[in-house]
Amino acid sequence: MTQQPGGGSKRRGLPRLLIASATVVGGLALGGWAVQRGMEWRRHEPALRHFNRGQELFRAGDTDAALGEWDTATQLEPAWVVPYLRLAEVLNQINERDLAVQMLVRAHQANPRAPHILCRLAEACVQVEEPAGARKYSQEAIDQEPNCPRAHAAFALARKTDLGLAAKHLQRAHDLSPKDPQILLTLARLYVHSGDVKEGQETLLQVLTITPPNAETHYLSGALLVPRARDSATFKEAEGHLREALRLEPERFDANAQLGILYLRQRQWAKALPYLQAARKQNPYSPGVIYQLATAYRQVSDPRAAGEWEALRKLQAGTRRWTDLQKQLVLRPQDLELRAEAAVVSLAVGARAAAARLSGEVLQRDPDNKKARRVLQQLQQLPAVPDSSKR
Amino acid sequence: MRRGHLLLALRLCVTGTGLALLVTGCPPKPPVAPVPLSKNAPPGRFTDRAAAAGIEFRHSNGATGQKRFPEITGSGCAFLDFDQDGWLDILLLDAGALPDGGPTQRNRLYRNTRDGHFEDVTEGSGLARTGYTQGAAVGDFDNDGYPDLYVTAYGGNHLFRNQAGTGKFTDVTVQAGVSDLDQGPRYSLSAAWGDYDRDGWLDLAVCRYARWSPETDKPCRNSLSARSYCSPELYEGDGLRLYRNRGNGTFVESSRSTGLAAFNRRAMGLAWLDYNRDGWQDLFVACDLQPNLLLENGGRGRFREKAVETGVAYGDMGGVLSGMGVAVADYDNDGWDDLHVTNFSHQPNSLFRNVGRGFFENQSVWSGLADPSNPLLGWGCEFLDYDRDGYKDLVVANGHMHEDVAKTVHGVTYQQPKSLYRNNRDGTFAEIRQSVGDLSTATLSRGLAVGDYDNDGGPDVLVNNQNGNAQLLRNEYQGGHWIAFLTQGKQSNRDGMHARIRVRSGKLTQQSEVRAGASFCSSSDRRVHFGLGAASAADVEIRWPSGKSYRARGLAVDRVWRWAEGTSAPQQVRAPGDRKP
Repeated sequence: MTQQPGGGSKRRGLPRLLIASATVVGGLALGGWAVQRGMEWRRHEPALRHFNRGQELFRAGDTDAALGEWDTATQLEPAWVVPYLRLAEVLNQINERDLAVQMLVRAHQANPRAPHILCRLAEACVQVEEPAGARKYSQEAIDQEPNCPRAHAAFALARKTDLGLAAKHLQRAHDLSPKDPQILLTLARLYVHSGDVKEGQETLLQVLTITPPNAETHYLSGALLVPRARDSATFKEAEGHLREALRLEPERFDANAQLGILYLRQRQWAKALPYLQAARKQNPYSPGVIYQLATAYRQVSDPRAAGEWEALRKLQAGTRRWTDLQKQLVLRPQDLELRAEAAVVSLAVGARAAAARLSGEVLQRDPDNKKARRVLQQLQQLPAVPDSSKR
Repeated sequence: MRRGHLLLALRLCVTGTGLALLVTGCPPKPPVAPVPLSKNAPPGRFTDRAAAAGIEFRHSNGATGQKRFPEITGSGCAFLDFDQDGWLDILLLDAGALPDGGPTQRNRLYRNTRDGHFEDVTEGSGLARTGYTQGAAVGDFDNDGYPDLYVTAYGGNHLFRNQAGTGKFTDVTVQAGVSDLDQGPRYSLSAAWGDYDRDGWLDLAVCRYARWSPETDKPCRNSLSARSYCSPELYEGDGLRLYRNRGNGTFVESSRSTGLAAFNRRAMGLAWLDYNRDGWQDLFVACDLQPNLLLENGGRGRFREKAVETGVAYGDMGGVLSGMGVAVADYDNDGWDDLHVTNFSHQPNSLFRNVGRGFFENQSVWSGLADPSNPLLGWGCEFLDYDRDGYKDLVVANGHMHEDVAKTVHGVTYQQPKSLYRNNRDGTFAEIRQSVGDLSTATLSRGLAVGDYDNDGGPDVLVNNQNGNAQLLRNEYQGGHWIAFLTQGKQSNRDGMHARIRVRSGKLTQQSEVRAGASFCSSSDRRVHFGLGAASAADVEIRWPSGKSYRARGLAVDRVWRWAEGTSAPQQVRAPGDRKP
């Protein structure tokens, strides 16, 4: 190729010009952004003061006051996302999950493009057993952020009845975030609950490559084996895992229940009883535990069996009533009395998240509704039930 | 500010978002993968001989795409010896089209020609057209020695009196007072004959499933937004009917006086059994998404509900299940009758082991039945000793109701194979999947009956498949001795229904009651069959419902014995190879 005279110098001059122009444009843009951010912060300033005060109070251990400060921040600056997110985070920590969902909904309204907001919303809906919301938000999250592991995890949890689809999305989430043991644990939990021993065990092995054994891995390993513990080796292995889970976390409802069931199936009634009794105390609304406890009492001719059968009967009747009310609510969504009644019944069958959500919905429209207020008061007086207390 | 007030304030300031979130039910249980095949299970080959035997029956539910609720339940079938020649005949029921069966509805009655073939004798039998037909119960209600038929159908049930084995049946529904039309058309399913008051005349219990009519049919859609069959929860249960036989060809409706009318459940399957062995027949009822019922017969014309405290109302996670079909047998040979109940997919079938103290243990998981039955939607079921080893095995008819279930639910298919579970003799069962022959053909099975149609000592299986050809599944298993009994009551009901037979061979003792109606909408061979393994003789004791009991020692095996009430020893009916009467 022949080089034109002077051409080299022209080529050297052009990049310099471009770099200089870019620097000027970049500087102006940066300056503009900084000015805008500064203005934004200034605009947020009163809200920011309350937000920061909330942070200090929270660090000092005064959660209630912190919540108050963040709430004030949202009122001063309703379009600012950050206080909602903080409120949601802390409300979730104190088991006020339905309120956390509502804070996230408001954050989403304030800024629909905020990073991971839809993922958080979908996750929160899963936690409060709100399948319609979970499905909606997780689908939107996947559309908006296809490479966000939390979006795929939430999508999977929202569709966990379709094991194949849920496993696919959890696997994708794991690929995107291979160091996060929670994603694999969720997958393992799905396999355990579906009774898929092979996949469950393989997934648990994967979990143990990224995290040391803990109460959850022991519980899942044991629960996986309980239905198959017909030979003494499998029985001992299941028993060992569940006992270890309880040693690490003595208040685990699920481990107590599974250990009780394990002994019951081995016809070791007396051994089963304390575990089932503990589980019953930890979660009074589990029909499975009531059934197994009644069975154990019946086998040892303990008269307490009759009381447990009666409790099961009542719980089932309440569940039926709740199902009926849910159907009626679909047909009459504006009926506040029906909604309040649904809150009362859902609390009676131990569906706390639904009770909180329903009563909250009633109070938005009718702040003086006595039924809804009573449900909220009762909810606040109840001891916290761990996540593992799902039926 | 106290937290309570603060949280309330937070709720009050939330802007109407909650109401947008629909309140929906808890998601169903995730699916369970089946356990692998037990390597030690012996073959249990069943060959479909229907076409070769001349049975060309194809069921139709008349589905038009509107997904009307009764289309899901299909129809049943029966083994009965209507002409009393010692060879089982066959009745297959057809639904036709809603609401009254329509012009194409046609049941089929087949006479056994004793050479492995059947002859269609429907024409002139009076049984061909019975409306949108669901189930059949076989029993000699008039004690004339010939089995009569009660046929359930949407819009009106029918009682047919057998005209002395001539192949003709007379519809005596109205005279007998069992039409069940007094409050308009009903949707009845299974029915079973039993002598609950021990007066020597068979009474009749009928499951009425749900309050449905073409006018109240509800439109439903699945997750793919396609038209779909609704959940049964959208229809109220319609409970049970109990008809007491007056002994003069008429019945009195006694649901109220006996206390049964109090239970408006969605009743699908039922069976008479004496669960507490007090001599009075109790009634177990499988209910759809409602607690099952165990109605204990107090002996004074009243029944008391005992399902919850006896442990049979719920699944082992304490929840209601979708009970469909029922089988009763003493599968562990401990002298107490146990219960097997089929359920919806993702609800393992229930095995309730009677421990004999007025209580049943739920053995679904421990027995090994839970895992393999979990992805299947079970309907008809019966215990049978297919390998004649002295322990009752189990056969189950399966098939889903939603055409696109494979797209919407992981691991579940629309057409499903039937299940054969071999009794491992230790309280557990092994599913046999390989070499089971035509049992493995995927179909939409509903009704199932068991009976030894070729009198070779091996219980065979008759299946009515929804919108498919019926299957006559011949048990090809060779080996093991057997003995069977045909009872004939005198003071007790003529069928000898509920007579309890105890057979001892070697160290093994088995017991069984005479029973015909159970499964789902179906009626099995009422002859009582026992597998004996290598034993070459059996000591037998019979206790009649009248209270009389007799013993016979050293009975020859591999034959059917007829035992008449009042005689101390049974008479041989048929020896091996005896084909012609």
